[in-house]
Amino acid sequence: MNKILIENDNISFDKKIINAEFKSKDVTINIKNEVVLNILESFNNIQNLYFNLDSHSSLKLNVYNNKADFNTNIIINLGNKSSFIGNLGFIATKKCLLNIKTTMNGNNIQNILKVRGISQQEGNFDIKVDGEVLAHTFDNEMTEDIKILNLNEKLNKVLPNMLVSSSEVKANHYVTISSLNEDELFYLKSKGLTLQKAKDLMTKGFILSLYDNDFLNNLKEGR
Amino acid sequence: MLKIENLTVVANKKTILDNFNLTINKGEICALMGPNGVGKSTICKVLLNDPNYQIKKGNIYYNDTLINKVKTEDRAKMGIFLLNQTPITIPGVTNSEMLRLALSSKTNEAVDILKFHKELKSICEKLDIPTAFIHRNINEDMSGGERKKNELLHLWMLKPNFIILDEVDSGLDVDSFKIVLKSLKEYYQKYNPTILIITHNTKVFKYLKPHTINILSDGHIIKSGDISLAKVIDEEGYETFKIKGKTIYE
Repeated sequence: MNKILIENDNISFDKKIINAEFKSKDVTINIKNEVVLNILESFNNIQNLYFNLDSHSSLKLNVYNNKADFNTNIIINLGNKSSFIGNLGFIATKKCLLNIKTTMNGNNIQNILKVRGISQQEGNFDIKVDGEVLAHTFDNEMTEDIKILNLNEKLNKVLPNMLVSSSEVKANHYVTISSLNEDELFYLKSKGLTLQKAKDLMTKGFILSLYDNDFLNNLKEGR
Repeated sequence: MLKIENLTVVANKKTILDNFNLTINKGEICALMGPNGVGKSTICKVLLNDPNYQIKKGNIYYNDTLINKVKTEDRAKMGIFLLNQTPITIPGVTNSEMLRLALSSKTNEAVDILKFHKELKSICEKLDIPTAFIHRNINEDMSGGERKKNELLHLWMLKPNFIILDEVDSGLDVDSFKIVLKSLKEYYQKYNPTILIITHNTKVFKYLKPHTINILSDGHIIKSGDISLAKVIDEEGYETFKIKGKTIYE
């Protein structure tokens, strides 16, 4: 997988697909066009990540980190008719703190954030999401969809906030913190899979079902 | 092949099966019928060792081996297959991944990928389901009929020798019903498995003619007979097997 090294603090992207490796801790990225940005383990290096989406621009942010150990803030400002789709998947090996703030600065904006986290061994999550829709805006769509799969006894916290000042917006949020579904495990065992293989399959599927085939192929190449 | 002796099963502190006995010989088709809520589906779950059901008394023998304490996955490897009434969705797990792992668990060998995919495609064509199902998450975004066909895909790939059909007709339209039952009939003719049919619908018997029909009530079998029992049930219902509140045992 070809990567771009992010060492500057302020950059602009207008390219289609960027596989980024972050060296800088604090980075501002200006999105000019249609951009797909993929980040793997270097997400651990990020402390503050700012995205500014120009009008009519779009950002699909795919993050997959199977050794998650971070304390990160992500701030996203969305301009008129822009689109943000965030697919963030983490397997936590340590405590992971994540604060995400999105602000919809206009109309006809699409803002869809999905987070999947697996807490195992010593890992757990403390996630806060603030999605803001400003007053006097219209036809905006916001979704916060956060799921944590708890494979250890650690405490996980998720706080999804929606700060909506407009009366013309579609806003949804979904949060679950759960362990593996027993009925699903039984179903897989009834086909002949051992308990461990069934757990491994379901755990892998929990995170990887977040991504499209392009990113999954990217992941395979990167291994 | 299957022998259930004096089985008493409890779930949520409630006795569902009470001194239940059933014997099915190898290659036979046995039907189990009865009113709603008498425990027919419980038998399906107990045969696969569902942890929600506890055996309080009695034994289950499969091919002369006592299997009360045998794990679910090991029973599947022994050849027991449950075609679920309402198959659940497994997000993020594809049919292909699951079947490949199940087959390699069964044989303890790596699966020949080319042969595996060739066989999958051939079965999809036979069942008239899109080959896209192979790489779809299990039962995700599938109608009731498609889920049943998906279960059949699993059946043909795993080739069990004891099949439990839990209300196989449930959720099927007329056309899907025919396709599913024809496929089961074809499997029976090809591999001669033992089949336990749990059903309310005697139309299933047009495709899979049972050697015995058993009626379940009060947690155990109250009446057994041959295919002619199906006509009595259709015309007179299950109530005909009760006199003034007492159940007839014949």
